[in-house]
Amino acid sequence: MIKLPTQKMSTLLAIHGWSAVALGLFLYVVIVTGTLVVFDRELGQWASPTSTALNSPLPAGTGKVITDFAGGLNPDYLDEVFVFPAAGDHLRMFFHNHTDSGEEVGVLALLDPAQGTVIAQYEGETAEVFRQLERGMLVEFLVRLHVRLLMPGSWGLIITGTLGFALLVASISGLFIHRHLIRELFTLRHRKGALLTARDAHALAGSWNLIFALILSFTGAFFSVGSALGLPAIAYVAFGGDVETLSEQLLSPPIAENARHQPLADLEHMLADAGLRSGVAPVGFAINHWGRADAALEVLVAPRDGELWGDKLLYAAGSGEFLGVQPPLGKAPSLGGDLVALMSPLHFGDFAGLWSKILWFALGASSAYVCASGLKLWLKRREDAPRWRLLARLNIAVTQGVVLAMIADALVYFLAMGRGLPMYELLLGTFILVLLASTVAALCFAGSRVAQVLQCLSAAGLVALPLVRMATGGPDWFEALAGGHTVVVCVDAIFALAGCAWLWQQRCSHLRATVPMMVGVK
Amino acid sequence: MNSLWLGVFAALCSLLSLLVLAYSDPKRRRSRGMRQWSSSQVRAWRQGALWALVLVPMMLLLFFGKFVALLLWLSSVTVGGWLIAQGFNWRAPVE
Repeated sequence: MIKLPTQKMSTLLAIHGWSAVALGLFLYVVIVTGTLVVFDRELGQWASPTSTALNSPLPAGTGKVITDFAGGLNPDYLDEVFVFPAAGDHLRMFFHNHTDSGEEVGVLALLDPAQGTVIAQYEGETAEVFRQLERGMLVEFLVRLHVRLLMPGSWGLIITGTLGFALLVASISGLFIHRHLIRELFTLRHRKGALLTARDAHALAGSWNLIFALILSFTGAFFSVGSALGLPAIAYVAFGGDVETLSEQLLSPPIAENARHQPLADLEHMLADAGLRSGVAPVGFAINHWGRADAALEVLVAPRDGELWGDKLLYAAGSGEFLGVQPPLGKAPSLGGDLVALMSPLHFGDFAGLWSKILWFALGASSAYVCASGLKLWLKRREDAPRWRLLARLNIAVTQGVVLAMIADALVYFLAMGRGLPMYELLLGTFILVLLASTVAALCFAGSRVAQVLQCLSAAGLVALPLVRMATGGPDWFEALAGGHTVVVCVDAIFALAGCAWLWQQRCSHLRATVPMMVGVK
Repeated sequence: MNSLWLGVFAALCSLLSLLVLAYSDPKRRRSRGMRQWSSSQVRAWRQGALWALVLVPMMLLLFFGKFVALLLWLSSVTVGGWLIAQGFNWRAPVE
């Protein structure tokens, strides 16, 4: 039991409440989208599957396809090349260079490794080409919503970083104000009124989720603030504000500069060698200075059993010589580098396959519940004060509206796929439109009724998703199973069952509310 | 045994202790109007021993440096603990 004087306790209570209430609705959006994109790979496979499922992200033959594709590009774009997994087992290849103004310009291509064909390519500046993607944009959109709240430039990162700190403050203050944390770990009082039950349910979920709220908020704030403010701040202090030089010092391979022309060694052979040396499959790679004597290939491999992150193997890409395993950060292994590398598995929960993802999803759902129940509790205690009523209505609009907006986006994604429409703008427009309509409805009609309607629409949308996916050209269950895409069938079934259960629950609560009234009338 | 199964096995051991802890939790039983399991002295000793049992797998995983299994244990125990607490408080008291 943590004993604190009454004055300190009320101050902590105010900090706990205000840190969450001030940013609670944004925090809820970030947590819900983050919870969903834990399954980014599975959702990507469901929404945009390849022709056949793959056992390895970079199957045999991929190196040759990429080398052939690079041969047809503007040589300027070969200065830096990233190849990394994209939605639905596809590969994204970004060939680019850095202009004097600091912009990255190049070609983004989407490769189907199962067929060995490039299915789409876009040319332009980084921000522009990534927005032009059609296939895989659904997951990309959800990730952008989680990481940047769809805001331009660094603003989104700064806001989500602030939200991470707000969650950190709420978690730490929650630890101190909940005086009987251990003693009440299994207590949920039903008999002493609905408000106390709601308070207990909030405290119960918050107590069990405390460690992960601290971990996820810290790592999330690190990712957001680190790239938006941290790197520029270090660059300002140590490199006269030159972020690119700082990035080169931290991340570039240690190979002396040599601009002499030299063709790339056999990429296919180097990738296979990386797999053999590490004993695990390569998942992506980067090439610096393709076509020069100082070309470097860094192959990222999957983590081995018992390891939290995978190795980075370095090759002299001109000669094909293996140079060693690179530390995660800097030129030599360090505790700082390891701590930075640890942030990813702790935040994304992808270190033990599907099991760890399921657990991280559950922890995210629990965090979303703590956030929504805390906000509801705060508003319930102040329901008589008119100034809080507006927030109560906005709370309904956002908590219910965001879920409906994401489902509507998925439906629009399937309906618009292959029609040459600007997918990102379409998803953004749908999201804003649904959220606006929810807000208007919550402001104009009774809150409980609006919540019920929004939930029914979301549930119906979930049931409709598999049908719309199949009706718009997606593989049916037999085709999916024949192509090895078990995940497509599983996700379809989960959505359909969840939608039906949600509709049934809505029907039951509607009956519970209406039957006593009818009995009263009789 | 690979990290996944090691983590799952460790979590199952801890969750068994958590189940007994939740079932015998004095405050939960009192709030639901249920009879206490034993005298307060035995209760305190038993709860302490059960909490130690919950934490033993974590100590072992930490000692042997099995960090993937440790993270799996930690996440499983927190999710499982919350579900157990919710499950034991699902409906109005029967006794």
